[in-house]
Amino acid sequence: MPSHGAPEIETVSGQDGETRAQVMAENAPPPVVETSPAEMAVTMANALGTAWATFQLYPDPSGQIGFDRAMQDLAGSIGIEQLEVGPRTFIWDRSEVPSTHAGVGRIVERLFANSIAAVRFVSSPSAKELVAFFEVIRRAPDELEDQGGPGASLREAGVHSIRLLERRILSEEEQEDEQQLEDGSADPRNVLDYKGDPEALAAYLLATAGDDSAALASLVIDTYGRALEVIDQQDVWEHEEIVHTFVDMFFYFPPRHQAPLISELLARQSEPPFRIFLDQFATHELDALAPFLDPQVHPLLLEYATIAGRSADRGKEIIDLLKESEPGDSIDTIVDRRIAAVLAPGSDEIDASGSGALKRLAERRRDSPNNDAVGIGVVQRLLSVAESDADTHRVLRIWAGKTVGAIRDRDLGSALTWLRGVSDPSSADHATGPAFQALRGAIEMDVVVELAEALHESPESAAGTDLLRGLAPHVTDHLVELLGREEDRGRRRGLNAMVAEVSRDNPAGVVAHLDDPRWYLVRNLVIVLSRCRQPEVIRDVLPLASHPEPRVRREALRAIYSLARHTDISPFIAGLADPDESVRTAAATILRTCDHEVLIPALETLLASEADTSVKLDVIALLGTQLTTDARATLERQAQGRSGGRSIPRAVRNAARRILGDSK
Amino acid sequence: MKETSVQTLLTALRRASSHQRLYGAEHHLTESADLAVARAADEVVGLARRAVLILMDDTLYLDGRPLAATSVTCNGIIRSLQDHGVESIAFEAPVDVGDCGKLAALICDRGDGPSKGSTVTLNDDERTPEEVAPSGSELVRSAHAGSLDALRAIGVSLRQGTGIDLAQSTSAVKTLLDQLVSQPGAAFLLTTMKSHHEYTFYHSVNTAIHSLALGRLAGLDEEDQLLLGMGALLHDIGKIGVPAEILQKPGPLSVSEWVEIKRHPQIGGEAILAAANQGQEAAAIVAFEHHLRFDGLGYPARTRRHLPRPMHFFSRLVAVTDTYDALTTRRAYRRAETPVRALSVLLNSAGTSHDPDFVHAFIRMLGIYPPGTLLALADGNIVMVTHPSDQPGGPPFAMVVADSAGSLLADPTLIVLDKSDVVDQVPPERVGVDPTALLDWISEHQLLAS
Repeated sequence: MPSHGAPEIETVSGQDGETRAQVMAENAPPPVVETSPAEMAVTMANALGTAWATFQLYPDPSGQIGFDRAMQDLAGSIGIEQLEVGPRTFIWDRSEVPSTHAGVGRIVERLFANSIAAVRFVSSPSAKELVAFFEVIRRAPDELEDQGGPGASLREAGVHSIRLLERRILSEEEQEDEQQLEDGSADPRNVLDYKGDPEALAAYLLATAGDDSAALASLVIDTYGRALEVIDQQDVWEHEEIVHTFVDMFFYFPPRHQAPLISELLARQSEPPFRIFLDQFATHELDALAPFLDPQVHPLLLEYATIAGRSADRGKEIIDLLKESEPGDSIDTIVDRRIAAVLAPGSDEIDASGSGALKRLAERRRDSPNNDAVGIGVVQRLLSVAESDADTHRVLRIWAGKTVGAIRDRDLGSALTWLRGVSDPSSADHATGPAFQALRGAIEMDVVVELAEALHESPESAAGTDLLRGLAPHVTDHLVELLGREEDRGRRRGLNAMVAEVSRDNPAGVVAHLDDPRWYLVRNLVIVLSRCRQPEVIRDVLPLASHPEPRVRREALRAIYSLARHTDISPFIAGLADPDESVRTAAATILRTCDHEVLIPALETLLASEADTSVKLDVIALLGTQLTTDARATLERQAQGRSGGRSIPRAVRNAARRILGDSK
Repeated sequence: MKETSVQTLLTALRRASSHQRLYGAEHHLTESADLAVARAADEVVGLARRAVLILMDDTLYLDGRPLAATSVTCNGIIRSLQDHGVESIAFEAPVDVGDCGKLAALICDRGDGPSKGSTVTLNDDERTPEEVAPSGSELVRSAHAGSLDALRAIGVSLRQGTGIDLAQSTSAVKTLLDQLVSQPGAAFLLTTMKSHHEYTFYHSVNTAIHSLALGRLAGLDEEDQLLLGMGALLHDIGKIGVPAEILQKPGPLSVSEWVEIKRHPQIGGEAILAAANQGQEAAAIVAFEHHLRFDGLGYPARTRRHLPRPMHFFSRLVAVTDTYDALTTRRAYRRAETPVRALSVLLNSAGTSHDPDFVHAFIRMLGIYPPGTLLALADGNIVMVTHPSDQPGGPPFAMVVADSAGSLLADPTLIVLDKSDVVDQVPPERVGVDPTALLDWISEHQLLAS
């Protein structure tokens, strides 16, 4: 940015304010013939920067390599008369002088802060003069002002080879800039060049406003407001950088300028940009300013503190402290006192003997929930704040993952805790809701294998049993498949018990496998179903009494009997006519326990049928076990050789006679 | 002073590399950035003809001297350099802009680096590891850097939408805990290190250090300490999902921006829960609950089933340490509070926002003047509090960093602070002291003491 009064040049700004011309100059080859004035300007600028850097490091830089070299370079570049001072670097012939030494920027900042518009070399300075020059410009602007300005100070220091042109002299020549000074404003587009450099911005605005606090406050307010207007409002980074630069700049102002400025800001606290400015101050910074405010401004601070105190991030701290403080009692003292009270020996809160906070904390930790409960707590909390179905489904997938993770770790107690944390069997959506779906997606065969292995190891595990029942809809298919593959009888028994457990509440899951082509699996499933105590599965088992495999038919009859007892004996009667002896035996065994009032007529019907004689002989034998009047009457009819007008085979007749004879 | 210059150099190098990758070598922004590197390198070289930076085991050395703070604050670019095989960089003044551009190009895989005989030379320093002696604070800095790396890795995973891996952070917390036990003062001092660019990560590591220390004071066993440390380290990880435009906004947030901000505990809790091994779930609840208040307010607010469940023990603890570090850090919307004032804010919120027992225990742990606090003494000297007393309630240790004339001391001396000598607190920028630059000294002292 051009200095006030300095000639304005057109630049192509880069990221750090450098120009393309600078960059190109950096890469330019070294001069091979005569040194041009532009090159001498570069040499002079670098020499001043190097010498200044050395001076800052060493109280007496004479004799230091860098300083001596700079002196030589300076002497060689006196061909140009003066360098003007821009805000960031020197200016020569209306162009910024590219420089390679960081010290250049620093000396320029220093000169600029002291309102020096140009440095003119009347002759080659001695080392002593150069040091004296540096001593002068090192002083604070206020100090130099008190001593009559930098030029006067330099003369007083006995430096004759160097002249300083002060900015206000040049400004008289620049009508436009003069007008700007009168307006008390600075071009915000130029102020943006100071982003990230609050010290330089402070120096610039101080120089622009002079030593007038009111003018400075007005200038800052105006410039800040306009700077925020010209930036892209969507560019939060630039917005932040501008705000931070201006707020940080505040702390580079002398204290006497700060109070008027903060008063201006407080007066404008209802305007968003200035509220943002005030919000940036830390609590201690605001309350440190309080004593310097005029009495009529203090209520504005209290008003701000009250409003800001309602926001969550500021809190009541500041308003409490401001109200609590009294004349002569700084807020820092109050704060120190508060904290010291907590730390004081014998304080109720912190007691070295352990009766205070630390003891209470130790006790509370002991009462904290275990890890599983903590995890479930997270799931429940996440579900409680879920705002969409997608949120819910995501959390439930994690929960299902935790449940099966515990199973994979064979920690069935933990798995059960996780399961119960969300899935409520009494809930209406237990079997269809999102939790159900999440579990369905998570439980794969390997999980069920781990579960089965864990239960093989601890068949009596109550947690395992409960887990099986809780997961029944999701594990049944896999368990049945394991059962079908298992060759070891002992483990098959264990799997049978597991399938039985899951079928207790979910027989349909087992029934679905009754058409499996593996007869041995079907037989086992029938056995399982016979134990599930769910009579409604009879209709699914009944067809198995006609299964091609007699071992299935036999177990089906037993299952039907187990599930329904005597309600319908027709399957057993039919079993008496089964071609397989073991089935007939099973049927006969079952029928022996049946109620004779139903059984005897059914047997007589069978005897009258076209059944094989061998079947009828079994029926006769069965009747012999029924020591009732009806049974005896039926036997007698068979022994007589005719029944219902039909002749009875000899073998049957003889068998009936034998039983009747035996029974006499 | 030198260390600051090196930090400037590395920051400029990172920017130049980034610009080269984004815009190409010929772009004027890249050229400006290369120039900034050259200027910073010149500054590092200073009056000497040559300066050598050595990168060894995550530690940066300038002319053989370890740069404690820079090794941590710039560890991203240091790692990048190491990943490209750079073990040392020698700069010769005046440093050429083109050579700096070539160095930047190497980092972004756009070139092979500066050629032999240029003003920037790579890997021509032949000192052995033994010759570059490890500093006393190397371990604690390495622990800090490791934690930052773990968070960065998790951040990348979250941004990519892939699951996070907690193994690295588990290991980082173990290392932090080890260092906290062996060098508490150095660890505390590291918590004064802040980053605006990577606020969330630095803040999280600082919170983890304070949480681990407070957990130890509260009598947690080691297993619990590790769980607590995990929770503290990861408590803000959900912010990865919040747009930077909101996090960096200097002014008040709109309603919709607040809604977005308030989702970070939920995002973090969910991500950690999904990644946690069995037994690590406490880390997730800390992330979820750290903005809940002691009095039941705060967020995330419950919108569905009401669960009147108290905050977890760890969450209450981390809520205190989180607030302390947030207050003492420059934010987009507020400048930093002094450590003492931050304690005062906590004390004021005890019983409402925060669990009073944890607030009081925390104050007891840090003492009236927390590490990093700068104080003016009656004799005019400026001291920096380095670490709390070994004895509960005892006077803290401090280092005299500037004399009554305001000059920084080249060889600071350690004192036991007499509170009655304190006349004022001093903002760090007024003194010009970087607390972490004194880390080596503190660490050495503590190791000797132990």
